[in-house]
This record gives sequence, structure tokens and C-alpha cells, in this order.
Amino acid sequence: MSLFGKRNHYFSLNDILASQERVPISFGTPVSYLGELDASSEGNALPAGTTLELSYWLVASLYQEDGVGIDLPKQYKQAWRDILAADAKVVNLQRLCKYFYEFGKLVSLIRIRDHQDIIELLIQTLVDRHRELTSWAVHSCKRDNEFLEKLEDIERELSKRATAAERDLSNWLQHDGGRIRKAELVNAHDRLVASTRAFT
Amino acid sequence: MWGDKAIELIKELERSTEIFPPFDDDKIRLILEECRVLNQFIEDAMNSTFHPETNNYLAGVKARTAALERNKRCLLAYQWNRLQMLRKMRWEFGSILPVEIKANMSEGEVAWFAKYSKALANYMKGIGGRNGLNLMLDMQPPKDLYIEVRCLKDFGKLELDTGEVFYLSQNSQHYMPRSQVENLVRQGVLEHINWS
Repeated sequence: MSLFGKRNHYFSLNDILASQERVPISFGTPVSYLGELDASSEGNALPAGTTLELSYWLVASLYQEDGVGIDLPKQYKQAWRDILAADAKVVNLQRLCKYFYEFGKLVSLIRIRDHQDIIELLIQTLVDRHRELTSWAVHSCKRDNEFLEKLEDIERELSKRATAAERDLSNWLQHDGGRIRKAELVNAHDRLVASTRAFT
Repeated sequence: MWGDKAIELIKELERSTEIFPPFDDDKIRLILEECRVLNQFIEDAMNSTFHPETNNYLAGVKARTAALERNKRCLLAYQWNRLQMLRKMRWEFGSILPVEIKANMSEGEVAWFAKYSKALANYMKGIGGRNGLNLMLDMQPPKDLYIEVRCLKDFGKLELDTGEVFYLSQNSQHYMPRSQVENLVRQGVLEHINWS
């Protein structure tokens, strides 16, 4: 299962969650039968000049309608682009947007202004942050969770894999290869049963 | 909002990567009800006459179609990812699942699991000559034919292919053929000790 390939699978949970992130959308003309989208509006039509933040999948179905304009989500706007260009390493991407790269990729797919800049931003951000991420992941002695909390979804997956690879390598170097271990899900299940027993 | 229930369902599943969550019947029923309402609107719109000013339903229909597709995708993804987990469990727990996990399965999943087990068993019987080939063995290349194991729980009697009988009681240690006990180690009954 490749990290970047599989994620756009129809059944991919991460892809579904990334396309749930919100995009600002504005309606220049009244649109009938969409009153439900705005909780504060009355009647079944959206009045002209309404601005809403809707999920990406819904915006993707509407942005080509007449009078509909979309704006960049705030994390890809110039202000944040400048911050990320200055020093991407210190930004807490988890808090900014949990699916920063995936969602950015989706946003750049709809013809939004600056979409080329977004693509470059995503790549540059990952390149800037990657060095520290790898070094953190393979040095198991430096386990500070403060760093983990700054990572977004793909970065977490990357660091998890780097840690696992590092562990496998050190096991192999210690001639631990032939040992049969308890299976992963069995282990998780046993832990769960043990913890529920401790409660009751 | 449309699709909110569906995303809750997906989030629930995403949170539990290691444990198997209960099948959420209620939420699925609510999502299907939402789909019915969405579909009703589209059907009504299709039966009314289009007018660019007084009855312009294009955007409404487009948005609702997207919502229908979204709900469908979430429901299918929910079921598919659960089945992937069950399939992995078949390889790790064997054909009998613990009661705690069984309680969280839907009727359809129980039937699917039984069918999968059967198909897998038939396949393993069908390959590798007359005796079949057990794919569950030697997940990692073996170094010795015999291994030393310690019992982690009282398991009872275990009879080997040779007819030899072992009594596996907690904390007892045995020297046994690797091929016969690999599954028990993976299921957490035995622990592999003194490997080299």
C-alpha cells in the first residue's frame, strides 16, 4: 500500500475526511432551493450576496454555476503562505488543518486563482519539514510529544512508518528475525479486554 | 447539513484503528432516511416544469445529487473498511473470533466472515499437492524446526500430528515443532522464548 497512491481510493477514509474541510463560497445571484445550506436564512432560496463556508465536496458540485464565487481557505492564503515560506518547521499544521496536504491538493484541482502557487506551497512545505520529521522519527530516544502534535495527517503516517522501519532494522541487527510474535490485532484486543476488566 | 451523519460514521471508524467498533445500525438508518428525502426532492423537480426565473432547480438538484453521492460513498467506505479489518482478523485470530468482537459484527458481516473462512480453507486445500498448503504457517522464514515456548494461559490439551499429547497449563514451558504452535503464538496463547 503506497502512502500517496492509495489515499485517493474511493473507499479511503482519509480522502473522505479531507474533502469534508470547508471552503468559503459566495453567491452573487439568488439561488432557489438551497436555503437549507444556510442555517440562518429563511425561506427556500439563498439571497444574493450570501457568503457561506461549505464542505469541499459540496462546493465542487456548485462552483461552476453562474454567479458563484469561491475563495481560498485561509490556510492557503497569502498571509499563511508567507508564514510557511519564512519557516515551515515551527507551524502547528495539526491545528491549522489536519489534512493540510490532501485538502490542498483537492483545492488546487478546482480552478481557483493561485492554484499553481498552492501546489508549490505544498511541496515546499513538505520538503522544509521533512528533515526534522525523519530525524525525530528514527531517534527513538527523543520522544517528545510536542513535536508529534505539530504534524498533520500524512506526516504522522510518514513518521509512524519511519519509526517502524527503524525498529525492524535494529531487531534484525540484533538477530531477532526468527522470533514469532503475537499478532498486532490480537495484541490490541487483549489490551482492550485487560483494560475493561480493570474497570469492572 | 447534508452528509453530516455520514461523516460522523466515518470519523467513528477512523478513530478506532485497532479495535473493531460496533456496527452502527441507527446511524445508517438515519443516513438512508436522509437519502430518501434528497431523492424525493430530485424526483419532484424532474416532474415539474423548468423556468429560469420562477422554478430554477438546477443548483438545487446538483447540490442534492452531490449529497446523495457523498452519502453513498461514506456508507460503502464504512462497510468496506470494516471488511478489510475482518479479513485481517481472519489471518491473525484464526477462524474463531473472540466473543467481544463477534458482538460488534452485523448479521451480514458474520455471514461474510464465514464465507471468507470457507473460501480461504478451500483455497489452501486446493494448492500445494495432495495435502494442501497452510498459508498461515511460516509468516517469517523459520530458523529452527523446533522452538521453545512458554504458556501464557491455561489452554488445555494439545495433540500433535505425531500423536504426542501436551498439557498446556499456565507458565509451563515446552519444546515443540514450530509448525504446530506458530498459530498459538500469534494468537497469544504461547510465548516464543529463547529464540536465537
